[in-house]
Amino acid sequence: MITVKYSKLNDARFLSHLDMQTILQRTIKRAGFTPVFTMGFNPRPVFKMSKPLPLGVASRCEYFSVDIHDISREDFLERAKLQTPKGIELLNAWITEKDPKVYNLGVISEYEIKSEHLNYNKIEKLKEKIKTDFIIPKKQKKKYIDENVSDLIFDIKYIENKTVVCLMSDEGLNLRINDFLNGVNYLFSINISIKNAIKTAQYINKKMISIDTYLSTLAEVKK
Amino acid sequence: MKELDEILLKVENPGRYIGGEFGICDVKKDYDVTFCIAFPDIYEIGMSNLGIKILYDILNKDPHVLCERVFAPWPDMGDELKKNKIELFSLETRRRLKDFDILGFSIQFEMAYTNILYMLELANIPFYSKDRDESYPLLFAGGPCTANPEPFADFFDVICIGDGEEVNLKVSNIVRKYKGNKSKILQECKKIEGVYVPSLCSLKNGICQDRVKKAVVKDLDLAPFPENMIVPNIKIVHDRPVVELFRGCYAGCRFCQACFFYRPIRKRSSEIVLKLIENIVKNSGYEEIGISSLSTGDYPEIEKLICSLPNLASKLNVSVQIPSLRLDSYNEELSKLTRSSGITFAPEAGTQRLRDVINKNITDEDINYTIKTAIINQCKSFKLYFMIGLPTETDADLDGIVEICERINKLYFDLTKKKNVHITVSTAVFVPKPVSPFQWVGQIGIKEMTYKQNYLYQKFRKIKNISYNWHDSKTSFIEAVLARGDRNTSKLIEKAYQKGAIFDSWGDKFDIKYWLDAANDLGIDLNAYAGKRDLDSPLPWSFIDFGVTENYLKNEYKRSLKGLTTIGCNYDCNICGASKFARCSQHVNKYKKGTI
Repeated sequence: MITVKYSKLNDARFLSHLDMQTILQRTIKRAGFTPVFTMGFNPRPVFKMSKPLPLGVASRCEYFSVDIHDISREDFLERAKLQTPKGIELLNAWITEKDPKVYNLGVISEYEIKSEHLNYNKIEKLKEKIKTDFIIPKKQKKKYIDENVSDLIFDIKYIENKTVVCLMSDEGLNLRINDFLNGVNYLFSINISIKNAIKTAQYINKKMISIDTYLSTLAEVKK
Repeated sequence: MKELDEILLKVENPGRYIGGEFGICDVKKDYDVTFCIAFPDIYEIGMSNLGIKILYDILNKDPHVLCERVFAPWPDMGDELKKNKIELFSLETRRRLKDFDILGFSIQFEMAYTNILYMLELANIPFYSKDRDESYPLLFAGGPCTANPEPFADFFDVICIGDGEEVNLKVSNIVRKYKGNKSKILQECKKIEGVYVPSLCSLKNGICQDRVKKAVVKDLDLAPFPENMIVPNIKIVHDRPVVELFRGCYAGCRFCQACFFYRPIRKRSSEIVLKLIENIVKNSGYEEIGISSLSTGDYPEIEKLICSLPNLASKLNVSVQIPSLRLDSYNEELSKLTRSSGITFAPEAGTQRLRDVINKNITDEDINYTIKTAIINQCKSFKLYFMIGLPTETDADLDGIVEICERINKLYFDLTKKKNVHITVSTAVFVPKPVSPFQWVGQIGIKEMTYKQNYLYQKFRKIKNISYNWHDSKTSFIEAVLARGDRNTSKLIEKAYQKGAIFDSWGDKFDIKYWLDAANDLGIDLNAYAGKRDLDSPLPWSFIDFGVTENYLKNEYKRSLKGLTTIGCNYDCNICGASKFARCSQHVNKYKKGTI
């Protein structure tokens, strides 16, 4: 199993999760690699992706795993890097024995938000607010329902003119960055677009072990 | 463009407008001429079109030309562009359409005419050729609709009639040489074979008096075909690369424009087809490939293809799609090529008499044989296409359609002792098209169309496993008006557009009211356009030399009224006149007429 880290920047952020699946599979095929196929009636490549990103959000830390026999990490990266469409770049790869189940890994997602509407004071105010409750209007079945998501904001800070926020998914509950921004916009009556947010890292647990570190450990085991 | 990012977040499916796909041209190259291929429908439809892929490849291979693409933005995007005062731009470099040297529209169907104006308006380019000076791009048109270019002739500077492979490069070269001198460019373009310059032709009673020859690629084996295709980032309608087997058609169905417009028949040899398939799959990474032609079963080298294609497909890990199979060319070998459990055929008419009138050249035995073969090969769903409103059609012919479906049910039960077959019947309304033997025939009125559709609906609703679909009658009526329009039609198109008609080929966007109001304002009788034409008076497109002579078409029309058929060109040459342009590839179809 090879797991690849890639970035999705600029215009590529307008591509949906489902489209990304086709794009990446075709990239692998163009690079000349044949994945292992499932054994069903309609054989499909064994291919898994990390959690979906909302449409319009850029990311520097997306992952996919694919099962290809007898490949080297360097060879794969060298060949496949040339075959991606604009905005998508393959950054790193790990070969592991076991399936790392990337779709389950991103428990905590870290985003950077750059906006003139946000400053140190506002973030401090927001921190205070989160301690008690943080209500966002969440869309559910065409209706907006107010939901308290303060538990799902793991960390928030303001450094170097940027807001860094860590959002958590926990036991089926999930806070997406667009919902978070809606909440912030609602609270301060401002208008920050999701184009100002970029996903910068994903962690596998509350101890803040990044997926990169986890995959490196798994790859070490294989060696 | 900062505002664009915000807009893209608001509109539906923003992937349509971002470009940057794998396989686009090198935008950093040195170039002298900029060419933009415009497609008057959305990205998903336009990117499925083979023609623009071929032209994009040819133009970008020329060291002097940079060719980009633009598609019609869906109304939500169009409104946003207008609101934010952003002019329509190309996908590759986001250059304004106005800043290109050539803007080439690929016009695939009549109902896209208003979209041409929609795109021009978004780009702030005047509609009429006479209102544009050197500061605007040269407006160029091509595609199947150029069989009758008169309805949109006033909008365009130069129109390519027929195959565009060579003409596009020649026009680009002329523009490069004489940039800034529009009248010289038009004069030089007029000298190219296959080019029609509407502003330079002499008109008499609204009919062009010049003679314009159709452009023909003489040998498909030598014609360029893209091996590096753009791989769209989003899901499109036909999400697979396509290799063209041959151009033209042997059958000679009398309602069909494509058959006669694309003659002479030119084939690509099977070795080249297989080589292309291999290279395209390797370069694009697609998981599926299609082969295309007007009637794949009639491909002269189909045997060789059937032998090699399955091996190649499994080697490349792709599935093969074979569309456009004529009912009489279907056989076991072909059925094994595709794994699908459904089959699509177009008998077009319900009874033998009417099939003889339209020269479909398939018999009831052919139908029975095909159904049986399909059922034996585990086929569980049938899709059947018919036409209603064909000349001489009666209720008995509609009953024939129902009878064919009942026959499938019966044969399926006899052969499998099961009843789990599903049949989908679609009926389109016959639209008389230029360059077909039925170009003189009048279309039936909307009332009659509705009667026939209702007649079939009442019959089919009683049979459980059949679903019945039909084409909108009002759209078909306007299509008939536009297909055989003349120079005055351009004003009708402009008026209808101003009243609100865009995306007319989309059922939810089409409203006949715009067209009726426009015709009313201009005093145009739409029924006269859709109605019967006199055999002896000149037609608006008579000035074009299509190869196939008007006398041949006339003769075919007369034979149809007597119920006489004409055998397909694969048996014997019918001397239609097209072979004067290039050698017509004839062959004898050995697969024909098997029995079970």
